[in-house]
Amino acid sequence: MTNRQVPTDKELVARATMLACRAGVDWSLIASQCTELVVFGSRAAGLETPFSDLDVLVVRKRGLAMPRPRVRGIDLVFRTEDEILSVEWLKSEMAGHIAAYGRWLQGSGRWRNNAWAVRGEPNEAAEAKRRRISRLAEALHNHWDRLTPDFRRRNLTTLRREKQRLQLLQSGIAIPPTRLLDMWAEHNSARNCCGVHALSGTDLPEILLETATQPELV
Amino acid sequence: MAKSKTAAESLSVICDELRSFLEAFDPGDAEDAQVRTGALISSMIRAGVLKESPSVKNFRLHIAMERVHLPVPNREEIVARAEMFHDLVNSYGGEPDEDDMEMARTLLEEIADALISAISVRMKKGQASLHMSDGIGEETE
Repeated sequence: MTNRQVPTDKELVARATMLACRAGVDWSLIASQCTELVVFGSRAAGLETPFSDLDVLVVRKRGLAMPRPRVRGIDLVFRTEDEILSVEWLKSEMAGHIAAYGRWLQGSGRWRNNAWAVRGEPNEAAEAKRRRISRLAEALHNHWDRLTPDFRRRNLTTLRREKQRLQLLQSGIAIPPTRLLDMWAEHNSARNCCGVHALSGTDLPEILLETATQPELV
Repeated sequence: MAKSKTAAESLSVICDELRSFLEAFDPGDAEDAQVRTGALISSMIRAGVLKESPSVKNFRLHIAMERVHLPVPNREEIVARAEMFHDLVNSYGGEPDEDDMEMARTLLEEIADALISAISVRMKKGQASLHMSDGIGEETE
């Protein structure tokens, strides 16, 4: 079991406000121009490292041309109200993740009950992930000799995580924060003594099922 | 003399890496850009103008640009562009849209211009054999 300390909504807002202020951006102005503000990723789950960005989905009000400020330490993802209702969005890996693990600081997030419910065959998020893995493996093959050992390790870790995500997407499970993927890999590695190869196993970690805030989606 | 030539060659490898990165840049292939970014930073480390760090965060291009021991013009601006480049090619889910990748290409061109200019200055000054211990760098931390 981990000793996770999940931040309160107030703490998340305080962090966003502080980082925005440092960048000369008025966070309350962003909040006033959107219908939904959702924190997702590792910080929403209290699984961040000191280097983790604060991932925030900003759903813009219909018809409002909103600037897209850049704030160091915050990864802002902008979508319109129409976009988050689209099938393309609802089927996406990001929508599935946010629906399951997102923390709504503003707005109702009614769309989240439709996320993944519209997923049909073929599983487009899984197909997109398969394409990404293929391109990543090819790039690694092409540039391997020019990478330092640390970069090789780092890219192999990325590849391992993406394979985990593919396995989850194929199983219809929302993608958890990255730290949980690493814990899953460590768990499998310790149990099976075969590291990355354990990803080909079929067992899914209980921790993934325990963590999602929307059980019906997993 | 031999050491100097080796250092100069190492610096020219960075230029080659940048040119190859730009020539091969494909807006439909963010993964290639991600791995090539690693190859670019690797070339800086091998040339002795960037210190390897155990921190994963320091593998990012903007951190490399902040710390590289070369006289990068308008360093602060270039660091900001490199950070934007990182964000654009590393979107959640791994499939950035082509507009973002086109913007990333423009940013990479600016970063490459600055780096190649810095390398050129260093080589012209005949300082190619100097390493970071010579105190020429502009390490920020």
